Amino acid sequence: MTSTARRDGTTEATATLEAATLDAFVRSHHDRLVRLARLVCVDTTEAGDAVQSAFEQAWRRRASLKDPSSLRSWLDRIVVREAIRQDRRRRSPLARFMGGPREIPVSIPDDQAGRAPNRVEIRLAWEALPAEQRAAIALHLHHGYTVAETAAIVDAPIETVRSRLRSGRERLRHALEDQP
Amino acid sequence: MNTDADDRLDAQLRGFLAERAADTAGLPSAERIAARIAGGATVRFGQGSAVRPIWLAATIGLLVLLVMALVLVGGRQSDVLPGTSEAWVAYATEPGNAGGATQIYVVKPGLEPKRIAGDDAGNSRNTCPAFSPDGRMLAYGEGTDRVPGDSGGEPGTNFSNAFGARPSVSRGRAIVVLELSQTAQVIGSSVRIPVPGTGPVPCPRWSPDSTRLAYDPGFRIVVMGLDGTQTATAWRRDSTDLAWSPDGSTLAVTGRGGTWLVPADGGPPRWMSDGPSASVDWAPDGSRLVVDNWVNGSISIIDVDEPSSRVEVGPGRMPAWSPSGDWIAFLRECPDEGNGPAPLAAQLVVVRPDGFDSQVVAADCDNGLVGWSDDGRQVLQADRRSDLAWAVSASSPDDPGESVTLVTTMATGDRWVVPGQYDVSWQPVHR
Repeated sequence: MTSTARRDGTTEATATLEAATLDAFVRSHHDRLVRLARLVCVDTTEAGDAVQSAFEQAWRRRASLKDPSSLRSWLDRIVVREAIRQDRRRRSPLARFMGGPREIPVSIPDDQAGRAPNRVEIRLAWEALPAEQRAAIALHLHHGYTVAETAAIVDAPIETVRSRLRSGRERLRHALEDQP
Repeated sequence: MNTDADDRLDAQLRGFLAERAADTAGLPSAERIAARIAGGATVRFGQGSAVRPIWLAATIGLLVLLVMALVLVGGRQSDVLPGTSEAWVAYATEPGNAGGATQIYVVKPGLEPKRIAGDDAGNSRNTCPAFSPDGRMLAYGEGTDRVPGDSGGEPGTNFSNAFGARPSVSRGRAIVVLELSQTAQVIGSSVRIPVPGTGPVPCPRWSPDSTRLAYDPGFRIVVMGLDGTQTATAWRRDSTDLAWSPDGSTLAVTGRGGTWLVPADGGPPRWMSDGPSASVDWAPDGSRLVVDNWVNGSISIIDVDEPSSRVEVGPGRMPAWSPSGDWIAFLRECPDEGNGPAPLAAQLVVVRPDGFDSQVVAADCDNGLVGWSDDGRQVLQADRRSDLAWAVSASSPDDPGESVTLVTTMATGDRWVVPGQYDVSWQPVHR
């Protein structure tokens, strides 16, 4: 392959190869990370920011990953941390003071009154959980990580993760039982 | 062990999570994410790029130059104590011919003051800047429409801290809260909460957890939550000072009628002491109060569980308990030798809470007490350098007689620091 030197010192071949590598890297992990961010964040804008930021960090620091087999959990860890950071920003004291977290208007159809908790009710209860509890439940229940693996991803002791799972379930149960 | 109810909940949750995770409308596509990263690769030193070493070296070189410049500037300004250069100091000033209008600035040693509130036309009074205990927010009182003929408040009332320079009676009153970045830029929009009626410019005081503000709109104390809630406490008298208990449950309020504990949630006040007082503060463990008495000029420590039991620690005023609990700082009046108005002719003194080991920290009889650094190692004072020039200095009880100038108004034209306890606030930096 011939290569042409560019002004920044790289070659066209190197740049092309790097672009292809980046493209493949993002494609191969995009769906999983987007879904994980969507579960942890309350709204899609925050989820999008978390995913973008996580991919940027991961791409920049990919050489620091010593064990290629841990790539998946390493990426999940970065995106969860970014998602929680987005959530904290939204819940900053001044943001609450200025009107509180954005509430997404929800209407519950009349014909659903009196029946088992529907998706809207579960969603409202889910979004009322602290982001750390959402992350633990999403990683454990949806992504299939064990409690120990979840603890490693969220960088917390195993007992803390157990507590988050327990508290999260309890809060969801109470919230759903309180529904009319 | 999981019960059937747990299993049913988990099944419900799994279904919900799968549905929510699949709802990715509006989220960036893989192509868009990759394009953004690729677009920024040259400035992020992307791996494999030959340009990285050059940019890296240039950036490190610039950073080294910047650090050297800051060290040089800082060294010329003062021998800054460890940690003091990290925090902003907020202060209220009165321009030379503003007719009582006041502005609020923030400054760090070596940097130009940055105006946060007030305008060149002098149309408003902005007082009592107060950094939140978490260091992220700044609150202050604002008054925009002074009552004609008013030239200031009565000494010793409504947080004027016995200097008599404030507060003005004002009609367009509000409390303003804003969030500051590390470079003192206002993040987002500031929040302005109107305070109805005519009275002193409100002087907001932060709760220890930075979620509530207490203030006196005139003969009562209101607690305002950052979630928008307001609680009118049971206090219905004048007040000269208030202090949040360390656990945030109670306000110590003092005034002409003595000192009382007032539940922040609206419960009945509890008597602590008689005698008009200008200042009150809590011990960090919440077990005792320190108050002054502006009639007999004494400072006392009161056990909150046994208020009739009290210890006098000496003559003085404006006591402030150090966050470490080791010291109480206060002002002790100097003999009248033409030093100026009595409250200004004061030495800065520290004493142990048992009344022993009293030390004069600043002896030049031109001091106004401001407060303690959040690590309890330094006490701040506003000290007069000339008739119009004031400085904010830090002293350490461990090194009495030595002080470090953090801010001086001599370099800022005709602005002067209003020398009150509530007109200067040192940003907590959580060392």
